[in-house]
Amino acid sequence: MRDIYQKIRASEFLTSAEVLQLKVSLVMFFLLLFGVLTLPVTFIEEFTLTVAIVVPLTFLFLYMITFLFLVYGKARLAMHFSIYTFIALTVYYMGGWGHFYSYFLIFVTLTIIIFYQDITTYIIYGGGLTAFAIIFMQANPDAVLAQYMNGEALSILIRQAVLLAFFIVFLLYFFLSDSYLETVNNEIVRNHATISRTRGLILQRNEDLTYRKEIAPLYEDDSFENAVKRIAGIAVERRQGEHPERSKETEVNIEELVEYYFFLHHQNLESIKEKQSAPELALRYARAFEPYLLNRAEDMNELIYKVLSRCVPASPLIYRRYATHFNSMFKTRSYRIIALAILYRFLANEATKRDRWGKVDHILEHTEIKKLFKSPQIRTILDFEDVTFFLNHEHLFRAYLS
Amino acid sequence: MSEAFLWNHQTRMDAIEREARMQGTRVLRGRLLVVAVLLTVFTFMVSVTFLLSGVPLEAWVANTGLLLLLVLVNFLFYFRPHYFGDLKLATYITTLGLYLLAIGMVSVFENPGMFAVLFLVYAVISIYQELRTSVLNGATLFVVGTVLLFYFPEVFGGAAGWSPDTLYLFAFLVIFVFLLTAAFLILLKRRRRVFFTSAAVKEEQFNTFELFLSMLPPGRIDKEAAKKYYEDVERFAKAFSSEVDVPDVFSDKLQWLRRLDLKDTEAAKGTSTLSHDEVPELHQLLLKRIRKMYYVALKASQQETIRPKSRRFDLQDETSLPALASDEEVSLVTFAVFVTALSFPKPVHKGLTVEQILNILTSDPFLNPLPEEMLELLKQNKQRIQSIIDDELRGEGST
Repeated sequence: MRDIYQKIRASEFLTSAEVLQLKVSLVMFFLLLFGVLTLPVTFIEEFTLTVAIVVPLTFLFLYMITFLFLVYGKARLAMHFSIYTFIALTVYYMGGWGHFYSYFLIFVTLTIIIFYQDITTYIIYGGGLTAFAIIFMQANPDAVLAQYMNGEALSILIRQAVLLAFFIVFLLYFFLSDSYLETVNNEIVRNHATISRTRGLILQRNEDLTYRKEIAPLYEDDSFENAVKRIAGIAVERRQGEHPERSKETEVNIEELVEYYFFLHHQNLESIKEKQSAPELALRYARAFEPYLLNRAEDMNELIYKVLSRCVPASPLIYRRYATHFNSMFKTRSYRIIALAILYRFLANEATKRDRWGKVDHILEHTEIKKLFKSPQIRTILDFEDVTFFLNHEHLFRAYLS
Repeated sequence: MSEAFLWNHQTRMDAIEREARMQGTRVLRGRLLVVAVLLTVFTFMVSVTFLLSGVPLEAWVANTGLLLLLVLVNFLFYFRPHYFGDLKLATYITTLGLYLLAIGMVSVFENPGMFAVLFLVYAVISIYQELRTSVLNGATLFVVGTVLLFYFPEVFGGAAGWSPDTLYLFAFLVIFVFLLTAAFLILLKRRRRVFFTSAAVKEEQFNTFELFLSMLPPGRIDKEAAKKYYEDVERFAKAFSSEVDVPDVFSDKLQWLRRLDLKDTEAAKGTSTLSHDEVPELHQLLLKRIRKMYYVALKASQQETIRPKSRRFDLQDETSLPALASDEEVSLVTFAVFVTALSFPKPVHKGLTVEQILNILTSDPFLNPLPEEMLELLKQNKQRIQSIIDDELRGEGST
């Protein structure tokens, strides 16, 4: 339990799969508690021997299946089976008795379903259970809570209404929660894609400038390679101290490995990987080094430029710092038009795209800007109203701002 | 650490935290409206139920009045958020008010079935999805439910008290409160992380734009460039005003921009005074001091073919850093390449000292791809590594 508590406290750092596993574990704990508390009743009540045996056995069977799925890492299946177990118990208690708590058991089962925080699961299982309970109460007015009815004070209708309202309120809860997270999710994904593209442009511009200034790129620079060898040597030294048994082999290989790393920059990796005759070791290292090559827009460059982007001065803007949609940035129409003009002027005068040779030298032409403004993607920045304004006065934009 | 580095770092962290907090406030404000509408519907339903059930008039007035008051509180906090400062106050008032109402309903009807109204109240408060309110919600339900079950058996028509049925109901209550509170804690903690990540990604996006801008040829985004931008926009605005035959409302604003951005004190002479509300909008447009519009334009230029994935992503997968290779020997090489590449000058950057690299990596755990042992190695050997880099840059190195 302490472990579960710790996990709940640090749940923001768990993956979705780990959170689901944690939830199933918690539900199983309560399921066990619940089974131990309620199932012995089947032996006390006046049931046939078959019912008295079948019910606990079914419970045990479903519980074991849930447990096995959880142990074998199938948390989602375990989730479904834990819900089936609770639903089975609820239906059994509702159908079998007119007991005081069978009505509340419906809420507990809905709670279990809500606990998993999955809208589809809630709609299917929660909706099914609620519909069943409402129909059942309608068809069997003498069942659930019957012996406590005082006739006029609480009708079946109110009980059904409270249950239905509970289901609908949580359904609303799921829709609100899901729709907002979906928006933030899309925003993060879109911003990530923008960062990745801009980083690609930076990398390309770095290469263009390297070429124009006639200086060697880092992976062709001997002093860079020497520095890498010597720093890797320090790392090996340290490992020698910590793991003397593993160090000897590395000591021999590290310089060769650094040379191989630089050698790979000039090779077609696909052909190396496809070559049947390539030694196993060479293939293994080629695959391992692939994302870390300096002439590829992959992991190594992502890391380098991520760190370098922290070295630029931070923007001093505080108010509406991250707002990039004109609706959030401006309330006054005239400021919006000024902003639109600045936006157009930048796009029409600065190289923000690759040209046909791959260099970051392409400045958008008026027709391209128009196409961009008419695309649905620009809705993250401009409103329909801004685009209409632009289209109505595009000749002025073109004449004064290109 | 240098003062400039510390200032930049602190500015970024403050901005990210502020944005994450504001996202939470924005969500909560929307939820106040939803709860207000929901409670309006409930007010109608409860009123009709009370009237049809023939409960005393004073009970009807008290319950309906309380519900209407709660509706008013939620609407008021939604439409006038600045009057109250903290929106959470509305959620606390609604929580306590609704439980009071539920107690009233349970005591009026004196039927165990009414106990479920407490669960319904819990569901309504859950809509807020706010951490402290969720804790208060769970605690209040537990206390109210327990007290009703064990100390006021008469409201259950004799069904409650210390009977096995009551104990079962108590067990249900425990399961209900515990599981839902745990579910909300998990959800809200993860949501807070999503907000924080979202803000951090926005900051990273701006930093990347700034790095791109720093690579532009000289004279593209400096003071002179900003002046040129304002001049061109002014010509455009004048042409627009004369074309549609309206007074030129732009000149004043552009003069103010010049004054604020380029410290051109002559610029705003003779212009109208600036209203307090306009200042934040003007700041968005300052090209030399703020550069926000350059960022927006750069973002716009990269948007055309971006299509967000519709699937729900896992934060860990989507936002975690690529790790240095897990293979032990490869990781030694990639570590050395990473440090050296950051230190060597490039056309886009003059290179960092080992001290600066360490400052950046240790100031933000989300930015450090190095395993602990390698970070330690870098710390312990920073002077040695720096002298290797200096040697090689001077062309004095030896292998």
